[in-house]
Amino acid sequence: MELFDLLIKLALVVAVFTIALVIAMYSTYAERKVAAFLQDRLGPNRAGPYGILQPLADGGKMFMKEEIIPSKADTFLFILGPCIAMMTACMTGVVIPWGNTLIIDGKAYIMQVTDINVGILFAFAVVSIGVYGIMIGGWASNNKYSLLGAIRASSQMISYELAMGFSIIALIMTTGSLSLRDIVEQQSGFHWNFLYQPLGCLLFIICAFAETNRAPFDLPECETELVGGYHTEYSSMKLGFYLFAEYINMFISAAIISALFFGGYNFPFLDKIDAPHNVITLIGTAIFFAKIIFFIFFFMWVRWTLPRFRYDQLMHLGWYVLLPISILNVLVTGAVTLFRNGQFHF
Amino acid sequence: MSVIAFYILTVLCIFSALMVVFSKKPVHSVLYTIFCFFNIAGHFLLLNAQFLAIVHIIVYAGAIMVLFLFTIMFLNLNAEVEPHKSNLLKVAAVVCGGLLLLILVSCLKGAENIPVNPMLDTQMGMVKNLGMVLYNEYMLPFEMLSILFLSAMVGAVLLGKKETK
Amino acid sequence: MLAEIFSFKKILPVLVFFGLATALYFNFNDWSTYHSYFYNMTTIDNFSIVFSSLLIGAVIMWLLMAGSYYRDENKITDHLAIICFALVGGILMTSYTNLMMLFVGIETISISMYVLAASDKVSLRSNEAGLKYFLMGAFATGLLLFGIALIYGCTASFDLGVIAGYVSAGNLPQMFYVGLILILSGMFFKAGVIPFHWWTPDVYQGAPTAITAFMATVVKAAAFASFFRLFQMSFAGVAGWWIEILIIVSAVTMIFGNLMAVSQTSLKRLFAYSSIAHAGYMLMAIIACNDMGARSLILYAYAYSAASIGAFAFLIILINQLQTDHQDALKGLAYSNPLLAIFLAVILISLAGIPPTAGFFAKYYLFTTLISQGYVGLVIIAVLSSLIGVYFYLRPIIFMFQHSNVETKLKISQSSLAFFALVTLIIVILGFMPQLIIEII
Repeated sequence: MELFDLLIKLALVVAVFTIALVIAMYSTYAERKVAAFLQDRLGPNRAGPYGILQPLADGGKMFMKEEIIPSKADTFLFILGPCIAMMTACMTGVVIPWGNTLIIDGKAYIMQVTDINVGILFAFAVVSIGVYGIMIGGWASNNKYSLLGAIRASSQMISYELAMGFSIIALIMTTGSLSLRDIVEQQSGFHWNFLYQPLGCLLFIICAFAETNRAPFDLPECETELVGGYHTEYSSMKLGFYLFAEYINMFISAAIISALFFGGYNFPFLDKIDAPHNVITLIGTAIFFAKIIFFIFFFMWVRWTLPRFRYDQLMHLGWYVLLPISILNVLVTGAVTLFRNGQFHF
Repeated sequence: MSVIAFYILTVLCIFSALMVVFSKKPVHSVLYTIFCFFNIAGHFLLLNAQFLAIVHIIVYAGAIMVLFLFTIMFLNLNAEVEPHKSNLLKVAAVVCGGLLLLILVSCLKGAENIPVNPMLDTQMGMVKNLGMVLYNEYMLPFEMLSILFLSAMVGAVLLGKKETK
Repeated sequence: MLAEIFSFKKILPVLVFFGLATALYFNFNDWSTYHSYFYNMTTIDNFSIVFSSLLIGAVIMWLLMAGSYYRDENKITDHLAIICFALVGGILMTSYTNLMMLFVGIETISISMYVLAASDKVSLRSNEAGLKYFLMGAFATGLLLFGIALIYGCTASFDLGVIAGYVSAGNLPQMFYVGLILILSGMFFKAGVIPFHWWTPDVYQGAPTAITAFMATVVKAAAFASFFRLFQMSFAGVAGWWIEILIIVSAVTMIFGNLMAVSQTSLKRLFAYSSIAHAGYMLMAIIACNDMGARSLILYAYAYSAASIGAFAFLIILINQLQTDHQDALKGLAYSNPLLAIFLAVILISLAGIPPTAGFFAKYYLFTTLISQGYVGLVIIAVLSSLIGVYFYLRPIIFMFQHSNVETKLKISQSSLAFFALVTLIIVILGFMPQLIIEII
């Protein structure tokens, strides 16, 4: 039986991995379609019907391209950079609860690779390591633009990690658990966390944009100033890894946002539906993915709507606006929590 | 199983710690340090201290070392820039360090007969237990640490401010 | 507790002054009570009260003195805040009953000191001092922490009482001794004792003079208080083992400190080496490791702190007005500023240990304590080395009474003259009535 459990886990890992990759792949397509839609263009439409095979063509092109490693570059680190970026992007998926339990042979299997009791911190740790991929890549290229991009990326990510951490702390104070599964289960029905933590939710979303280096915070790869930023010297599939990692990150961020603040696999009137448990679980998972796809769309929507920040504006926003607000949010949340528990008297 | 994991982690940890010292480029040193921190986090995991392991990664690998790397990249330190130290100094340093190592090793050789305290709770590393201990028994040091950090912060601001002269 | 009362008042020196005075008052309120707080993290006993009053008193004196150093209103707020934090650390170091608290206290005071040592940003020497102090201090902290970890590994507790119980049970593993050695090394560094003294001269010379004064008084007293407390409360059971180390270290420290001080022409450096020598004397109190030792340590710390703060106050004035701390600058001082010269002479005589000053009785009491315990050889070395000390402490006095061609007239305000008078008064009173302190606990 243990072997069967292991197989289920393995299947889950493979499934999560595949889904992440496929969604990331089609995000590249969606990105262009959304951009085209917002700018009143057609977008890619040659490869397959509606250009649906475009990502495959892009992937093929990436693989076929010539592999260039600059002669002055630090070869090992140059290769390590995109690897780390890709690896950290894929790692967070293991703690996200993709759905409720599936009952097979009277035994419940959770739709989550692993439910560690510090899941949210794990996600946070992986995000904080993710910056190394960019920094190492930027430094190893031995190129001034790359280095500038890398330095921008790291300072930006550190700055926004603080506000993000505080918004998570406020959330943890309301939920009382660090496990992502517990947090999602507490939101059953329509008790979604963004109703209780509206400010924290907003802060988290803003910081998620900064952490994934998405517009309007895409300074590290700002074409107008830095050619290509940290991946200026990269070509072929290593460049592909960097770009791909960004889309996977976006997918994961969307998943975390929907799990933390928008109920995860819960949906209103869940208990009104009279259906077998497994069916409800599958519906929940589908709804979770619908939410994720909405947030991916939201990411793109913002990218093609808002202009890019200037670098000092970005830092100003991070340190002078978001950080104080998030600390205030923590204080208020703490006070309210104590007040509701009756441990706080005026 | 966990013994094998322990030895793998330990070997990697010592290897990376040595590489921190021996690598020529400062950036490589920093990267080896980060690798070393990951191994230590692995040790924490073996001790069933998940919270500590993750926080170790977030704080050390994720924040402090990023700043470190950041600074080193900014200064663009290279192997050539490093000042050359005289051989005598190096020999002296090796002798001193070697003596300390000798003393530690010779003393710790007899250390294996310490019995493991059976009273220790294996669930100690869990967030809940840790929080309980931290906010009850170790309340005062915890609060005093905030004064420590505050003084470090004021100090950093003091040193970082521009001299108006 | 009392730490929080004043750690947040940093707006104005006056406010800090009253805050400190309040703290002193609350401190004495706890007199002769024996409380332990926060799960036995800190314990207030008379030893800790006397020492924390010394620290608070020294900071008050420092505050009175530093007025002439800080003209810049901007700077003083930051500095005072850090000084207050350092004081909190120091008080923790005098009253801890848990190794964790010791560590937190030491770190608080050390980090504040690293910053303050480097606080004169335009001076290269100050930067050097800060960096040196920081790098070496961080290393020493590492040793200390490693030692604490090993001790914890043996005893499974940070509590001093539990550790003492473990020690008295006997049959200690090797690991315990390694931990003890490492803790000893860390404490040696913080106290500025040979062979961990190399930072002292450079840091004392490079740091701004007011900060050096703080280091030489508050930090040193706190370091020795914690040193004594740790070894008396926890490791007294294995005294036979570490006392030999301390005897050698203290003898070498005294001799070396005094000998090195002889050849110094810079007064600041001279006081740095003399502080090493005094650390050697204070180590003797730890060797005694009983109540007598505690009393002599307290008396010594009071006498030494009072004299040093006076000496550094003088140095601040000297450096401010003449931009030098070379001993030649003292020439003819007795004729241009007779009153100041007399006060300074008393201070130096006290440091040298000549009657009827506090320094003499502190040394006398310390030596008799040790003789009563049978450490005659060590006391002979101590007496001989203080004879060397007499030479270099008297030399500046001789310089003051020499005529010189250059007229060095120091402008001294009434208030700072009053400050020197106060310091001198303390020294003389303690010299005539050492029982004020000795019989207090």
